[in-house]
Amino acid sequence: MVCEPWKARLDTYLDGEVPEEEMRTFDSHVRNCTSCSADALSRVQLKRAIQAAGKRFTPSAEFRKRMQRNMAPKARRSFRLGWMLAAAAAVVVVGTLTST
Amino acid sequence: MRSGHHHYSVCLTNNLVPLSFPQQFFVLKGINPGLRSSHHVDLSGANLQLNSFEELATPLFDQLYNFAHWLTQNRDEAEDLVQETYVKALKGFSSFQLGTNFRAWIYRILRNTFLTSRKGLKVTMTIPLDFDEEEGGPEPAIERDTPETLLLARSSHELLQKAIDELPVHFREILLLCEVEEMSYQEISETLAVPMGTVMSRLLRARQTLRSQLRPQLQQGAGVQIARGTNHGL
Repeated sequence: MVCEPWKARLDTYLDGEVPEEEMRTFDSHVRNCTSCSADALSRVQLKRAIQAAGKRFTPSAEFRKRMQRNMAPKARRSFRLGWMLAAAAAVVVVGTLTST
Repeated sequence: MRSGHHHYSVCLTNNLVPLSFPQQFFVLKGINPGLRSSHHVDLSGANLQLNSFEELATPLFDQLYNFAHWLTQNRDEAEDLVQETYVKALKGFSSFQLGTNFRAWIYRILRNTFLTSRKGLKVTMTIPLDFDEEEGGPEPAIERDTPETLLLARSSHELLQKAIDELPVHFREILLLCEVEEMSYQEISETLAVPMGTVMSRLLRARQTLRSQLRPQLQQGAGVQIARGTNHGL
């Protein structure tokens, strides 16, 4: 078939992965070719359906909380540690200044 | 290339150039191709400003969980996999190069963790050695009732989810990374640690397998519905 080379790269084209310089040529062919146009439409429909069907699983509220707990304390600890170090440094500076 | 879509999105908002054909499809179908790689672009840009693991990893939590659940096909195992991924990523964060792609990096950790788990090893052992060498061959000529048109007519998520579930894991993961996570081929290549050529050929075969899996299921389903006189969607 005349369209075989185009059809072989149709998914790549619809994924937006065809080099920009080829995009116009591809656009022009697909616009003017009934077979490729119909094929492209059906492939986009499948892409869209996979995208919707693929977003299937969501983490449970309990798991989300557990992960937040696991990640948060370390951040808070390091935050607190930072302030403690800053406060200690301030005390040393003030102490040094007052003693001189 | 898809990485150029960020440029397109700028053009889209300013209406400077006409949309390319696939963009028109995406716009018609409610998908903005200009946004497809924006996540990647934004994250890479953000890497220059954000140095907190939490800031980079937290927004990916839901997506990583979804991907993990698709891989493991089990809630408890998906939770363990995500948890292990975060622990490993946090430990190895010092080795992560700022300015590189964090999303591809953490997805690669998740995938490698899965593949080295008991279930992952079992799955990997069933994959033939010449998995990526086999050519997909040309697409069959367009048919009047393609799986896509039947699927759209029936709006059946369940059939599609079942078909994706039944795909070999290497096909399932690449299809999800491309269609659901909207990763560019380059990002997929980084995530799966395979060359771009392999990404393209594997993606082609994944789609062909999915289409061939859907065709009999849909036709059978349609037949049952017609027999029952409930073919409202067809």
